[in-house]
Amino acid sequence: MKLNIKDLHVSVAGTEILKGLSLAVSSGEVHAIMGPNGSGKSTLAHVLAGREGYEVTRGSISYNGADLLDMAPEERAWAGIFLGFQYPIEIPGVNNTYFLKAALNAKRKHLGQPEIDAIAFLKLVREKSELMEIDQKFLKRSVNEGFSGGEKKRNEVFQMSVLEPVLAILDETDSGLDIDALKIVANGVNTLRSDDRAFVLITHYQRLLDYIQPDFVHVLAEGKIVRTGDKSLALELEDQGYDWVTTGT
Amino acid sequence: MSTRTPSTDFDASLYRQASENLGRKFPATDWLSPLRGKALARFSNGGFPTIRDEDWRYTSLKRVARRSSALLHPASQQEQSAEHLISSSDLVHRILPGLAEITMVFVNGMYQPDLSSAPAPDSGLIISTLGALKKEEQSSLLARLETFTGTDDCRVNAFSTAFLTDGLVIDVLAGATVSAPVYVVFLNHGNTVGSHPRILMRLAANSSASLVEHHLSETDSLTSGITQIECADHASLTYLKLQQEHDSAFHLASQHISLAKDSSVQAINLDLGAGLSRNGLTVHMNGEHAEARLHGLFIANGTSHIDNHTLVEHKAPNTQSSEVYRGVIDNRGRGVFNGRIVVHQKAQKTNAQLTNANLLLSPGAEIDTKPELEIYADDVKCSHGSTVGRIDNNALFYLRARGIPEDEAKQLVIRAFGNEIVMAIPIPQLHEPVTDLLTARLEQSDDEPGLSA
Ligand SMILES: Nc1ncnc2c1ncn2[C@@H]1O[C@H](COP(=O)(O)OP(=O)(O)O)[C@@H](O)[C@H]1O
Ligand SMILES: [Mg+2]
Repeated sequence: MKLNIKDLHVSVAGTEILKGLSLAVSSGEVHAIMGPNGSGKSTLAHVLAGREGYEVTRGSISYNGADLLDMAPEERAWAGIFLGFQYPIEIPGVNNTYFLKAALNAKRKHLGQPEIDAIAFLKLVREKSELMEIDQKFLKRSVNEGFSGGEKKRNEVFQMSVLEPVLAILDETDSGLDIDALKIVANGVNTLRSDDRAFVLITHYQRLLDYIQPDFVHVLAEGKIVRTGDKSLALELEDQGYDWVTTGT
Repeated sequence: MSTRTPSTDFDASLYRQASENLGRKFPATDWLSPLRGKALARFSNGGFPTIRDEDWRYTSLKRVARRSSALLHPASQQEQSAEHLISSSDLVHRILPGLAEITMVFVNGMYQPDLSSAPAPDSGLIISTLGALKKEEQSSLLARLETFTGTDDCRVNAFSTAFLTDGLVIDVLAGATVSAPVYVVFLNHGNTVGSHPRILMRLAANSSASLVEHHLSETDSLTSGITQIECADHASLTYLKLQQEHDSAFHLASQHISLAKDSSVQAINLDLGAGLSRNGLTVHMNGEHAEARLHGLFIANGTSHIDNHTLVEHKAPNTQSSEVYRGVIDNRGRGVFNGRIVVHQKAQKTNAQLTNANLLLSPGAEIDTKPELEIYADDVKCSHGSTVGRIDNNALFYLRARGIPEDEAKQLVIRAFGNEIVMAIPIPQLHEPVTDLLTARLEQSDDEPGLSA
């Protein structure tokens, strides 16, 4: 897997949010993107997943050689892209398990595979929900409806572990989690970590990186990557705050 | 009663002939003739309501008025028979599975014993058809049959009564708990038929029972039915009305439920068919601590027009009502919802809630929704509201980001919206078959590509 973002400019409702962002991600890597509130982290995540309302005015995104911006959100999902939402959406009346099965089968259909066998599916769901310590009764509820903030985030990682993406973008999945929940989420990510999979972890705090070792840490400020380093960059940020990297840009 | 100018297309003599013919054609219900005559006189004073009547502002019955005289004549005896139906129509296959224990089937308004299964003698239920009543039972029913035909705003009920040919009288005995639902199926079979069925149900004190009323038709037909249910003290009623008439059929129906002290009703109204449907549900909360939970779902696609008027009358203290109606309108469909709650002066400590949420799926779809509260008591908790929206784009994006294609994601969200009402049916064995009906109904929207958004 190879994701290549070059000189990306994105406007929302006429305001330029991303102003020339470049980033390359390959299989096996874990990238952390940090940055102050409002710097454009979620904008980047949404553009990668194909959400409407974001206008790319300049630059390109290629994914395994294909033009990602030409692909519908579902096509990106079939190609292995997964976005863990900062604010997961509630979908009343759609059962969590049913939803997961539909998602899994949509991808299989696209790949020309038969629908997943009912027993195999149940086994998969049981295994992954235990990993994420998700109560069986949540699986029977509507997607995210009435879930607490932490439950929604765990549900995102649970979905990720069932769908087994090639490129997972987790947008502040660590925000609002207590330390136990954070460990569960980190464990979910670490379990999935492999040579043929990559992660982009968007986070506000370096705390998550105590549990998931990143290969690269990037600082996003004012619509651009202003600094790239290794894990020590995150620690420095923690010490000195964002002003330290953003001054002078 | 004032004299009104009859609406256009109104030819009273045609109606009179048709009504009078019924007595000769169906001797078993000849005893209804005087009632029919009286009802016809009331109907004739004005004919069908027009859009000048406040209650009918958004629903024109012009098409019904124009077609109704042709649709009055009941089908021939042969066409009404069970054998004919089974050999010439797939309607019987649409009778819901899972409710076989007590099934009462009417074809073109006439009871069909061969297609029905009556309750066991010790079931706690007594069911009779109007045509099978003993002479001494008939006279006491006349007043009940006439109840909702008297006032000016009941001309459709008067119409129905003028052409009444058969119906059901259901009595639930005091203290009886009848677990098997009474399943009543009204089938309109063949061309240009009309049926004007009636259900009179009474739940005696401390009893509980379920009624499922199901309407099916296969071509243009006219149904004008009335359902009257009385719950005595501590009685508990479950009522499902499922309307699946043909796309060109007219369906005019009203239900009147009265609740005595400590009694309760849980009613679900599903409109999944008809070219024009008007449903009027009135709940009279007469006794203290009465409770009503009402749900409704209407799906108007193609060019169908579905109108739901509900009225909840809180007439006693400490009564509770909650009402959730949902509409899905697609293509050039039209929905009308008018939900009224009246809290009378005596009805202190009333708790009443009403919501109507609608999904508009295409630019040609329309909904007129009006929740109304009229409160004459001072110590009450009431709320009402309605929403009209399109599919939530955030939900669509979430589903698509997980790999569910756009069309499928839309269907999923719409189906879920409707299915929450289906899941409120307190008869669990119906959840699956009714969900299937809902899905099939929603899929019909796709059949008309030119009309869809
Ligand atoms: N839908 C939107 N309409 C208008 N402005 C938006 C919208 N979404 C985000 N923004 C603006 O874009 C900027 C970046 O937002 P976002 O990408 O959510 O930042 P972050 O995730 O880094 O906190 C903010 O100033 C925000 O107010
Ligand atoms: Mg964000």
